Amino acid sequence: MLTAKVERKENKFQGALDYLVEYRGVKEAAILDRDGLLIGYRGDGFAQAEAFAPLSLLMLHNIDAVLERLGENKAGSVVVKTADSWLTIQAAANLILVVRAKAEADDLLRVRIGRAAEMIKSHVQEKYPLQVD
Amino acid sequence: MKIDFDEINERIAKCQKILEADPNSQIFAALADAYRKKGELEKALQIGLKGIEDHPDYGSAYMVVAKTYLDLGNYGEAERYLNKAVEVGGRTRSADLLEAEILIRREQYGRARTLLEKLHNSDPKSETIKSLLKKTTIQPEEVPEPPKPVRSAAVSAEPSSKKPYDLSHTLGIIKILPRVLGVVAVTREGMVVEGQFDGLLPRDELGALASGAFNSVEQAIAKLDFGAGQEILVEADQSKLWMFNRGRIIIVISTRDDVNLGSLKLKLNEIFSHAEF
Repeated sequence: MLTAKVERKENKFQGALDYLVEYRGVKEAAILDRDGLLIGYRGDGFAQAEAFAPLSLLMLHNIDAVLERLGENKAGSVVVKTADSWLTIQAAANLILVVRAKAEADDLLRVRIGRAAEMIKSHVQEKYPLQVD
Repeated sequence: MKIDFDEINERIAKCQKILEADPNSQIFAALADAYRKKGELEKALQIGLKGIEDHPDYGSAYMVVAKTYLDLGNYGEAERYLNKAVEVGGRTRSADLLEAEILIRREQYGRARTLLEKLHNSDPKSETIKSLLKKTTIQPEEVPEPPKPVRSAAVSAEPSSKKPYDLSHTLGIIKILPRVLGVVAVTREGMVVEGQFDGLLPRDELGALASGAFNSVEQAIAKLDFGAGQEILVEADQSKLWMFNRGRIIIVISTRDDVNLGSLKLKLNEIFSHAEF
């Protein structure tokens, strides 16, 4: 009984990741904590994900340093586009959602990323109400 | 136009905080402009003129003072400070636009129209230009104006659709797009090449920080085999920062948080397609 309940809760993170990778052009999606550790992942290159988790966090920290000097709060999201990829690093409560898609993915992906972030946020809020930023 | 006083008050508070921490900051221009937008023109003027005494080479400050004089109805002083802005910072599209506004207020519709038509040709979607153009065409008693000796940026840019935009022209067009707060071009080494940024930082510092952030992102994505970074969009609570890789330089654009990203992207694509630098 307890096991089933725990599994269902954990699957909410997985549900958010599944929701993302089913979108056309999305290659992989991951949830990280603020130390760069991988909490959840969907895609076909787990080893690569373990590398991009801390690097994504590093990018976010560098951007946040610029924003701080501008008198801004931390970045809500950072989108990096290259010739063939589109990497989004999105804050989701006290976690970070990272999505990598093909450059050809359409802009509606941004909406889906926003929704996935909300799913993660609501799950964290429900499970760890005192830890949500 | 609806004025968001909460946003202006917040901006004033932020600028004042920065000015208290660094009384020598160029943020005074943004503070003066915020007071101008709020309608506190005397205060705007006082801050702007005092700031110019300490920063006589800061072109944006002259622009703010010129706009304030325009709002006060003192067209002579508005023109004088506009000319100083041009002397210090060079001809920009913002300067052309302000000159057109002054000409309209002075009922010199012919000259205003000539200037605005050139601006309109290079940026046909700008609602600000369209609206000003309209003001020049509905005036029944129009006296033709003699040609002006000074060549404006807009006049020298024709035909804009065929001649490639240089860096200065490109930044000038971007600066007047809706909800764009500032745009600068910086080298990979963090040196500001050109541009105006009426934000919360001296532009040199912004250049160093932005290029540092861009370079670190590029290094990270290179390790991941993602290829060279083309653009980085950062969304924060009150603003957005968009950085574009243009070879040896990075174009850094700051916008309000309520900017229409789709529309801005279309316009930027079009502008960059004409750019050559």
